[in-house]
Amino acid sequence: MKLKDDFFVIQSRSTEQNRLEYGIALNAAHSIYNLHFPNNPITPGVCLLAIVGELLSFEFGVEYTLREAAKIRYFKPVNPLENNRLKIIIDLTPTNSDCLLLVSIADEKDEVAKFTLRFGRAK
Amino acid sequence: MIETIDIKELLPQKGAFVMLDRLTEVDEHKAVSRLKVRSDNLFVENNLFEAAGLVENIAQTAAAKIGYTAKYINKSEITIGFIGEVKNLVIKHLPCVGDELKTTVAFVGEALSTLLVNAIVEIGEQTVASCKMKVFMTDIQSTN
Repeated sequence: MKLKDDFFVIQSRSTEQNRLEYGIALNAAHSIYNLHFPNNPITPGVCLLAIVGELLSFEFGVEYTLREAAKIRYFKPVNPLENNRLKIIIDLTPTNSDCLLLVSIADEKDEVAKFTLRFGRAK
Repeated sequence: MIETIDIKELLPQKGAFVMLDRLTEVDEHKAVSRLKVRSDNLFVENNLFEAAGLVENIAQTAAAKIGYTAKYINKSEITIGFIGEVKNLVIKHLPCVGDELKTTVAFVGEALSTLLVNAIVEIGEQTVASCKMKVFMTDIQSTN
């Protein structure tokens, strides 16, 4: 399942050298929020991870897949009923065929997650 | 006995978000689960089970052990937990539809409301993914 344009939409995008900055809005009405968890909608941490992968693939027009994560940290649960807008800053270091990413995800007040990831081209 | 337990009884996640079929082993420090990757799985795209699904499968294997302990040993309620941290995640390749995953989670530490696990996902003899994970437990009770 693709999350883009279903679970979330892109609201803004800017780039500067090796930095991508996306503003996204989560779809609080999405069925995932009835399952995770009933009466307690929390954005699954793995969906934030999947969103980053989809943004990378969207940015470059080729499919990327996660190969490694040195560190993935979640600081605060994201309840879309309280706040559905997130800012995602991706600092990229391209290597031969892979991409190293430092990712920071924040809501209107706080940083909610931080990732160090390595993506490769999907075969 | 463990294999006959409906996994949904042990997890706060529901319906299509449940990323394992059953537990096959549980002891004090370890849990093993199975998942057959089906084409209608939420995290299947282009016939492949994506990284997010693998990480969720690991987290829910830990959650199922915690749920098992709560329900069958402590006779208490199932509560909600979150992934706090993942370290040293390595994904060798993505499983395909039809593959059966065996996920082993070893509980290696505990501090306050945080459980530390080492996880490995295998298909047959082949390692597909591995990581260390911190699971943060809340006292929020699961509802239906």
